[in-house]
Amino acid sequence: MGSEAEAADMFKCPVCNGNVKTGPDDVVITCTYCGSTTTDEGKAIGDHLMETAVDADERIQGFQAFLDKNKGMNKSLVKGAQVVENRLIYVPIWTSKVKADSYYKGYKTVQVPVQKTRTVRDSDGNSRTETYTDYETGYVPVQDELHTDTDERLLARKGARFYGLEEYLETVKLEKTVPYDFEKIKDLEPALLNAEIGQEEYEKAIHGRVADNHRAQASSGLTELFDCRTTTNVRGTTYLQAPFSLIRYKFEGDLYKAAIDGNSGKVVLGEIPITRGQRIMWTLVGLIGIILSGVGGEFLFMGIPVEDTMQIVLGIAAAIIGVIMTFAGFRVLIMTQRTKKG
Amino acid sequence: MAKCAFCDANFEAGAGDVLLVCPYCGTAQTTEGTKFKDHYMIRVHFDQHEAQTTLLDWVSKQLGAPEDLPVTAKFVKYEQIWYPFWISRVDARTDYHGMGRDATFHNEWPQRRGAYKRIDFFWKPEAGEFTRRHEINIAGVKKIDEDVRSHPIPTRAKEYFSHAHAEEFDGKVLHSNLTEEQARKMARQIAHDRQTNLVLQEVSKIESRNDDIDVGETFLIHVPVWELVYRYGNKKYKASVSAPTGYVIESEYPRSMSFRAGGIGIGLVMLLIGAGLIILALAEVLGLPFGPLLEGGGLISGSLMAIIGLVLMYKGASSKEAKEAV
Repeated sequence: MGSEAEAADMFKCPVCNGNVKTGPDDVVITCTYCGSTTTDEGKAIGDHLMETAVDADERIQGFQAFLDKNKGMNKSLVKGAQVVENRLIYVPIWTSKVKADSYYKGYKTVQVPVQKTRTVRDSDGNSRTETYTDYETGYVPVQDELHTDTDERLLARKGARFYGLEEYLETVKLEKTVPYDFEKIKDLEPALLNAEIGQEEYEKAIHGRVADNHRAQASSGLTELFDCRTTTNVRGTTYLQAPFSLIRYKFEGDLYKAAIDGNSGKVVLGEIPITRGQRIMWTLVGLIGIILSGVGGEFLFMGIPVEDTMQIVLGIAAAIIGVIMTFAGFRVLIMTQRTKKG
Repeated sequence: MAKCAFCDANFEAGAGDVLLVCPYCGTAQTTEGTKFKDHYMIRVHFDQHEAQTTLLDWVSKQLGAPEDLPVTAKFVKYEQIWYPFWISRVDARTDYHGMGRDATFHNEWPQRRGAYKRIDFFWKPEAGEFTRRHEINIAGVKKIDEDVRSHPIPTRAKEYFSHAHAEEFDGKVLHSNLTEEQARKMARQIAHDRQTNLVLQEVSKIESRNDDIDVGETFLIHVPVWELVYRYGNKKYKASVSAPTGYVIESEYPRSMSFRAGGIGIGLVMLLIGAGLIILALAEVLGLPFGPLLEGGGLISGSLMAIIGLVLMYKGASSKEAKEAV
């Protein structure tokens, strides 16, 4: 079984004739010897670009800078964090410019102020009419257009997802790429992943995604969306390979992770521990919040009968700030960890 | 019992198993003995020891997990289960005719131009088409935890299935309860439903439709998961860890007694003080013999304390499963 399987796993590079080990579903393959990139049928795919990567030490530096920025009062975080995994992987990405135009139709409702009159009877039994403001529903027809021209990116692996993927894709920029050159990165010993999604499939998928975004944007302000027609124009589709690294680290015996952009060595998304000291401090903030909101409420309550505007405003402000402090403080007490963007 | 059509060995197979993997030669085959070629796997990157330490280090940061958990927990069961999934690529094109909603507007409000007093809905015929490619992933066994089922297939290279690799870890390779035909049929149905949902965004009533659904490449992939059970104190806790990536798919975990006592105790005290403050503030309304006290502040602070108290008591009393976000 073993030898048979390996034979089927090989792809012959049409440029240098080298035997390249591939996964069964790979449709765009980069030769591990000469770096030329072709489809599984041996056709050229045009520009093949990559982002260069920094080495493991530089990634650690970027990671430590991230910890330092988010350490709060936890002074020992940078020193105490012990990296247990920091492997570089090159992921396949399709990118293109997508121009999308939508025409949509629907309606929304608004509250229209209407002056009305009514008859009231006063304490002496005399009736008189008074005017008051009522609100009635108004229906507003909406017919509008949406035009966008955006950079879109998609991970060219089927059904795949990893920690920090969305944030990472945001950092992938064509301006940062260079023509693919395996020589430049081979010393970093990256794991290279080939694409499982071909160009045509990518363009279909990206059309669907942009059209769905437009529909969501159009319907967001409406009571009902009747119609939404979107046309898209995908251009400049480019295949590139971009470096990514997942750092796992231990702090005080517990395991955390951070997603690193391998090109800049900076963290795009990471988990930050919360120490016991931080939990105590935030709980104190919460308790102070309770007292502050109470004082504010009392101030407000005493201010209303004497119509002291200053006192009322101060009371409301203190009550609101107190409530926010309370929830923010106790939220940290019961959180597992913080998640921070780089 | 089943007999391998390729190496003649006898091996265990359950009643619902229709696509079998011989534990001796590793050949995937139907019950009639036809070899199934498109059979893949994702390689194990975390062995038993690594999976266990990763799990404990990860679980010990959960709220209220005892501090001595990583050193005290004893693993009582560790099994590597290879779950089968059927992955199909489905190209679908749907042409539809239907009725969509639209409206006319009457009687403009003079106070607010552009807004109308009356709206009359009507139906209008609409037609169009949706062309989408769906990738459909169906678990090959019925008895599978929902979290394992919905965990994404790891971003690692697929390889042809190698039974020798599964054997290295004493892996238990599950047979599939679905044949390729059944999986394709289900994939077609799921793709059809997804197309229906797309069409229903455009029209409210479908009057006629024409579907061209092509179930393309369909393969079977086995994904290894460490199913672990550990003991802490008198209780046992279950966990699933992805063997290719080390992600904790889900894990039950203990909460320390001091955490529970603290949560319930402090929560109860806060709830009582909060309730007391509210009663004092509302004394007049409630008709109590003592005068209202701290009417403004007591109400706000009292409610806050009562809410926080309830949350803390809940946290102290509840037991939870934790899942690692991917």
